[in-house]
Amino acid sequence: MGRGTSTYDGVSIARAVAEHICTSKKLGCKTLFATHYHELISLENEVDGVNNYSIAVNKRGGTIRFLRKIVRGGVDESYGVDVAKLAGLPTKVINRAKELLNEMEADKSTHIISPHGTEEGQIDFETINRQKIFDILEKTSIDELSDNECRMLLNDLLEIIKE
Amino acid sequence: MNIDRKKVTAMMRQYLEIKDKYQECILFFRVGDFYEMFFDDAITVSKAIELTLTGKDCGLEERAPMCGVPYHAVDTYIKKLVDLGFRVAVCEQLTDPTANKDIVVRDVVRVVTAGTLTETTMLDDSKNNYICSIFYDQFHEVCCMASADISTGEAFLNVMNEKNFETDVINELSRCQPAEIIFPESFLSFKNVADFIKLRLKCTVTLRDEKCFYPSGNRHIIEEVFRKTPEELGISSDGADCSAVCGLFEYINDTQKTSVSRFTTLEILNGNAFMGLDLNARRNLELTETLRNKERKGSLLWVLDSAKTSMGRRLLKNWIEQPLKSPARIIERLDTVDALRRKSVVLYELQNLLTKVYDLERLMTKVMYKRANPRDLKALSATAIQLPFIKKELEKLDNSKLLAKYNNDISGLDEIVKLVEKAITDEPPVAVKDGGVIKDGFNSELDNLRHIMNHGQEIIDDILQNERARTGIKNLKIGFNKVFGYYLEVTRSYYEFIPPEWTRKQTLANAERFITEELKNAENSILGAKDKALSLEADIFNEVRDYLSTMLEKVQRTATAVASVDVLCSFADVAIRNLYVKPEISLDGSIDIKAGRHPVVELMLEDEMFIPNDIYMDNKNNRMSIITGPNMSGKSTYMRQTALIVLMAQIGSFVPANSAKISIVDKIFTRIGASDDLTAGQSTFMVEMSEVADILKNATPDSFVILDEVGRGTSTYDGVSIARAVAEHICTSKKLGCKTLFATHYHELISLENEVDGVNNYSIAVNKRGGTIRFLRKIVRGGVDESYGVDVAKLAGLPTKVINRAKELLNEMEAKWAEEHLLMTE
Repeated sequence: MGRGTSTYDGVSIARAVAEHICTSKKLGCKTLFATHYHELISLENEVDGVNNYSIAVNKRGGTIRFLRKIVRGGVDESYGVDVAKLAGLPTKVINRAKELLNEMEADKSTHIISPHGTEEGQIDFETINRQKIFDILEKTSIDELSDNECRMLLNDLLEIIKE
Repeated sequence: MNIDRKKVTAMMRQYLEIKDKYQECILFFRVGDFYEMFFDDAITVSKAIELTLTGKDCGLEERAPMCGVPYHAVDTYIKKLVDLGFRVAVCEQLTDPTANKDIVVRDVVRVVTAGTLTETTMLDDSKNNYICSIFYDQFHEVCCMASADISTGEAFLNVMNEKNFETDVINELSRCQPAEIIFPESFLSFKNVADFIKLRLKCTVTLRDEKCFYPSGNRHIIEEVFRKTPEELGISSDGADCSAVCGLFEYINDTQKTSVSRFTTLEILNGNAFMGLDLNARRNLELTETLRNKERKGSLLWVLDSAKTSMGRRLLKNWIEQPLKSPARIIERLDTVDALRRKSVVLYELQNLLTKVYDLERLMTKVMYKRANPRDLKALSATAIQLPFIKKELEKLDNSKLLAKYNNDISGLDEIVKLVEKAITDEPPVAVKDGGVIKDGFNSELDNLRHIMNHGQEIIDDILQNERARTGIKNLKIGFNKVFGYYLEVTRSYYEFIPPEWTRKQTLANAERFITEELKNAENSILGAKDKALSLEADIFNEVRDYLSTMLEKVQRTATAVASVDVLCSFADVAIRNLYVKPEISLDGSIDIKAGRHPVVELMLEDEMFIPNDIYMDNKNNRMSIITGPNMSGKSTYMRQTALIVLMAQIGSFVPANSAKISIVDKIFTRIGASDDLTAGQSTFMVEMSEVADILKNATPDSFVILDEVGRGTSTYDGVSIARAVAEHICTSKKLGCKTLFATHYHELISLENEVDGVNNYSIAVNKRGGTIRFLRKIVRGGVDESYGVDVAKLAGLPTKVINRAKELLNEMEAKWAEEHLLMTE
């Protein structure tokens, strides 16, 4: 529910509807709500009576197998590109889609969840931080560190993340 | 039930012997005024069509299960069974039950299957009823499909594309929607086709032995049916094409129990004659029926149908399903429609004449299969009478070559008129056996017999007068009853006047009854005359009917030409009524429509005006239009109307627009709407992706593609990535680059305009004032940011609490995004 419109509108509506069904005194009926909006997963912690479930998937190498078993907990992945590959989309298209997907997941806050469609290649703190951590780890050789030095390194890294 | 054949009655044994030969059919066994079924057939049928199951004594201990139907209503029951996929073998009584002391001779006279119906009561007169035969030659790797409609006499052959034949077979089956398909069992190994037939088509599948297809044993059938050799028809004498045709007609002959030369031509098609439209395109564009209810009303066919004959209606459906690709042929049709439109007086007179034209094709079928009744022949004559007038009108449009050709093909058929008007009475009964079919003066022997019948009473009266005079019995009477026939009756008072040569037959209280040789001779003449007359009428009728069957080729050619004229008149009539314009056919690759309208929607709107829109696409800078905007705003309508206008132009019809320049499109693909094929075990997303994969595989630079929200049904990231990758691929791949309309909610795709050549953004103008939105339904350049999802949800009636909460969440998300961006820029 919430398809057929922009992502923000869709998520807002879906979430508002889910909350309403759960909290309204006139409703509160038993509801099965299938969705792709991972944003709704947080409802489990925020609204009484809501539980997350998902269907177990087995992903090995390049192929996915749907085990069709319901398990507790929400999932992050939706295997859209994998299914598209199964459906027969040309390899070129699949590869390009994966490329775009990686780009977007790397820059989560500048791409998708934007109400306005302008693409601005801005650099955010998260990316900067990641780069810092990468740089540090790259230069580190663990064999040369003592136990104490390891602990200090970890501390430094955590500080960077908290920044 | 254990059936001991030695114990059953003679009739039941006869039944069982015949049933042995027709195991795969339901056997309708004629017994007097009923058709009866026994044993397993009875049980099957009573369940299938809810007939009462009874029993019949058959010589065994248990009664045989039985059900029956009256002979005059048999067609309804056969049709119900055939619709359920059964084959019905009709077994008739061939000898007169009273003539013989032995058991009546019975045999199966025809097998009725879904694809071999000829009875007009079982057919829809606005549609063809096709049977297709598919044959795959493993050695040469060629697949051919032969199809026929035995009720109209059409036969055609499709030679499939070698590499992609499964897709070709599926597309052609989607197009003609056959009632029955036959092929050898080995063909089932082609899973794509087999699955398609099982899941998407509703038809009867009949597996035939491979031998039925082999030319070596069956080639002669082709010559019997068409009266031409395979070479003269244009096919090989032993290839897949010949095999497909052999298999088809071997089967047809098997069901009709006779080789009937109903067909005069075999049309050979390769995949290139018509615009490519797969099952999705046909359904999504609602060419001949609506998506939701599968009704005619609301389809393109419904809009264009102003045909006045059944033949025309069927042909119109075929033309819509097979848009042309040849500019010359398209322009030929358009010019003809134009000519008719300009001389509307001729147009309306033609349509007036056409209303009086009956279904020549199906009538001729009845003639050829010897099932025509007297009224059918009158219908043929009534139709033929109109032909000279139709020809006269056609001559008035001498500037159209196409109409001139059709005029040429239309024979006056006045031999039919002359013969039928001379031979058949003006208002004959339906059945020949009722008499009163042949006119007086046509056959002298018949006239004679009728004279005797009619004047029988005079003859009797003459005898009475003579005998009265001769014997002096003044109150002599002549009576008639079933036991003695005619008799002379004398009362007591005249007993002494009775002549000796009279033979006494009956003594009553006050009278005696006698017969004489003269009286009996007269009686035999009179009664015999009636039977003889009826029998002679039947013979004469058959001769007339059989003479008509020698005119098959002329009638068939006339029928096709008349149907074509009917369709072109229909186009012209609709163009005038709905204010269509003549499209210009261009070769420069561009599609330029000004103020285009959706042909169906504009007719179905009640309270509002349809808002027209322009569209411009070409092969260079305007290949892909990305259309963003809210739902319900008209994106779908806009895309579909473009496809429909192109299609209408390519079938030769005028189009709903102020002007239209159309470059020929070789295929139209559509990926629209939610296809929940859950019964086939696939999710919406999987089905949609398969459809997109299909399009990417089969589209060419000359194709036209409509994509409505590719990427739904999965997570947002996955969806956007796939949508974008697909859009880029279509625009940049050398093998594609076809004109594409891409409607989407992903605002991320708006940036493609600047990044990929040939892409342009469009959106539907929306007016938002205060809290309400109005969709202006006008296409404008540029993408939109907002999608008004929450506004539409409010319009739809979601409770205010929910709408307010949604707005709250929306603002939160937008604020968070803005915050993160502001942070960056600081």
